[in-house]
Amino acid sequence: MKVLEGIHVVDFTTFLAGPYLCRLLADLGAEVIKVEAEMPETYRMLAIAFASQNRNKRSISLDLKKEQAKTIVRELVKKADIVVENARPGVMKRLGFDYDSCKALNPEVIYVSATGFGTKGPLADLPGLDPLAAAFSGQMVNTCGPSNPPIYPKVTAADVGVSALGAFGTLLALLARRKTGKGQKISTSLLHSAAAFGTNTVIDYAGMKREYLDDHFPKGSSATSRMYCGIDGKWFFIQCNGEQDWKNLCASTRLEYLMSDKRFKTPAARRRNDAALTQILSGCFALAWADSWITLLRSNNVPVAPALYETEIYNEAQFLENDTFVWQDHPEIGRSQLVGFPAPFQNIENVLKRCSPKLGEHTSEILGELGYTEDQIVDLKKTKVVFY
Amino acid sequence: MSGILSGVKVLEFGQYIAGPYTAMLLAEQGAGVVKIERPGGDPYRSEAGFVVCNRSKKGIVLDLKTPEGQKVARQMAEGSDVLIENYKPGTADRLGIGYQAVHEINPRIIYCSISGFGQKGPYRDISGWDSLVLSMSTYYTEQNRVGDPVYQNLLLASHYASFLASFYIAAALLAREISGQGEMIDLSLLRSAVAIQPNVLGNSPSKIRFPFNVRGLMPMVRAYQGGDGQWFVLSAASVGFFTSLCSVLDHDEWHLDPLFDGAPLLILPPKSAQVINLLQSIFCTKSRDEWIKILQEANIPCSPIQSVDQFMRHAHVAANNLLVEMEEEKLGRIKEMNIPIELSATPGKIVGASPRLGQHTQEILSDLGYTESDINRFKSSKVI
Repeated sequence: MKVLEGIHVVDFTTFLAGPYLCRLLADLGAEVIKVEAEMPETYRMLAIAFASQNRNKRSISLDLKKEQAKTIVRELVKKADIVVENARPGVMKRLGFDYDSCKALNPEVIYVSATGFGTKGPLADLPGLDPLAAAFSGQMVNTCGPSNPPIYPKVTAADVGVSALGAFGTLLALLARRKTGKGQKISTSLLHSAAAFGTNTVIDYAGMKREYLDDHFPKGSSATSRMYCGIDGKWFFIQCNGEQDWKNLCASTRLEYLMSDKRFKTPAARRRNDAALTQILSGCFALAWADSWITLLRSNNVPVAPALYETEIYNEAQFLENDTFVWQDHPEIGRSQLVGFPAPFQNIENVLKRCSPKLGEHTSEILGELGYTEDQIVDLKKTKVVFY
Repeated sequence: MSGILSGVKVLEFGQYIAGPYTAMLLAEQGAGVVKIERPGGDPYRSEAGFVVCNRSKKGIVLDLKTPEGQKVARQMAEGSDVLIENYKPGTADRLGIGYQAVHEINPRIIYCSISGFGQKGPYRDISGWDSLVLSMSTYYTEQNRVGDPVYQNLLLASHYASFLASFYIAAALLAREISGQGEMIDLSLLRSAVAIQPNVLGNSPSKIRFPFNVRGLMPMVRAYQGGDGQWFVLSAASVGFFTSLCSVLDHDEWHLDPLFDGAPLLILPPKSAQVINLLQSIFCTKSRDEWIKILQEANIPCSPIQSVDQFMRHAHVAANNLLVEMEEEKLGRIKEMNIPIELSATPGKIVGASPRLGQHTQEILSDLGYTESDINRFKSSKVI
């Protein structure tokens, strides 16, 4: 079954967090209409990323400064089950589509508001950009500490955290509405998400010590939990947690003598002599190809995985056998692989029913469904109320 | 009305983060969660993060290697709505609580399995540590595409698996209301590590691959240093922000300068390095906080790069209720994340601190109908 079939979503969002939230709903069958302006959003430049976050959606393009355009969107909101926005605080109110306005049009509506820095406090007006949240929340200094240069995280965790948490909240509200018949407002923010990623780091209690790594370009957290480089320049990660892993590591590298070396005999001794151990292991691993190390370590039950580059994973068995990507024939970017469905189910269907829309691709179709005649649609285009 | 999931019974066979955190997110929306631990307890108990991932639950200790232990577990599964496990593939089957076994006694159950590398493929049996999964999912290499890989001390895959799992469990609960059928949800840390990068993973012939390095993405979106050595992030990723930046730095001529072709997003190498140096040399002329003031007044997105401690003590964080204080038996008062989503009509609630090992064993067994003497027998045979 398509669990969200027949659920209508009006998607006012741009960039990543909001569009991805709506796409998670669309993948489960929801009918999502992306409300866009006349000009393409900046994110459309990132073709494959845009295609991924906006698949399964239709697009209407209109000028929300015009009253007639507002009338059209009000009709969409009246028919909607869910409205999603990620504008800066105050913008939706100015446009006439904040929660109270939408609720007045549609008392059962579920309204999802994904802000950057929340709705209260001195920084509430900051835009919802992931790097700001990563800088503000401590994420960038988390690895190397405040006295070293920060590491700018490539993965926009706070952003995509909002997508999944917001989607979770949306479904909770749908469950609630089945019981009470009432809608409600769901709020979350990049900062909520950043805090939620920190169950083990965003904590503070008396006597707590924060441990930071010294290295500006850290390769891991210790000699037995880090990346090493083979003779071919390829990297792999070993993660030894218990004593058995350590013994297996020594056995597979033919460095059994380390087990009786005073410097490395116990976990505490290894911690004290971490640099020396790292040096020995680096030297050892530099003598053979990364792939042969991985094979050898695996056959000795040492937890290990390659450090792959992005271009390598599309042909990697582990990703392929677990259906991590989906193929699409996109009219603009061609045959391409998108990030797939995060979870397969037994009964629920994940759907890829359409590629990401061109700007305003469905303007006429959606207006037609609202009862506008062809002549009226032509007029609306002429007067630049709607586009394309 | 509070806690939309009230009445939903969740059974958690979890350890470390992914399984327990999923159950906690459900518990704080009203679900009744019982955490089942092995005799030695969840190995994550040795770390402070344990108390956060296990708030609002009851705890029971069961030895699933004994037939009686398995029998009790199955009896609990019979009366549950949701089962969450994050063992290695195959372990749940061996312990008698695999999907098939549980589905047979309770076809309405929503069974959520969170493995490390997935149920298939050559790596299925490798321990699902975040570091290994993130390593394979390009996270460390692409963090510094132009040089050696860089490790990041963040357990992203297991945290994200929990967010996704709670979403998909809610979807399955909704589906069950419509169809009456239970569900099997097959998540993995590997899938989560891919799902967390929807903007950078994906493959098409025309794809532009940015030369990401450890300080940032491109000249307009990266970390810069003020003259006092303090760092901040600039994020001028739109035409409007770029225009404001040129104006506030008194360099309107940049709009016509070929060095800035492609601005704001597509200034590519080798020019990008020149632009970065140019901006950095300008930012060296004033302190970080001065720049923050100047840029924020011009409405250009930026933020000081601060530590977790500075974050946790910031007035803005308090104003938005991002954190709560809990009282934990071992750690005393601890400040930690609050519920990350706010529902206006059916708000969630933190129901209490993390359970002591086996705190509710007695209570839960008597609720299942076991007598005092049964329980004593279990204790002496080390089932509980």
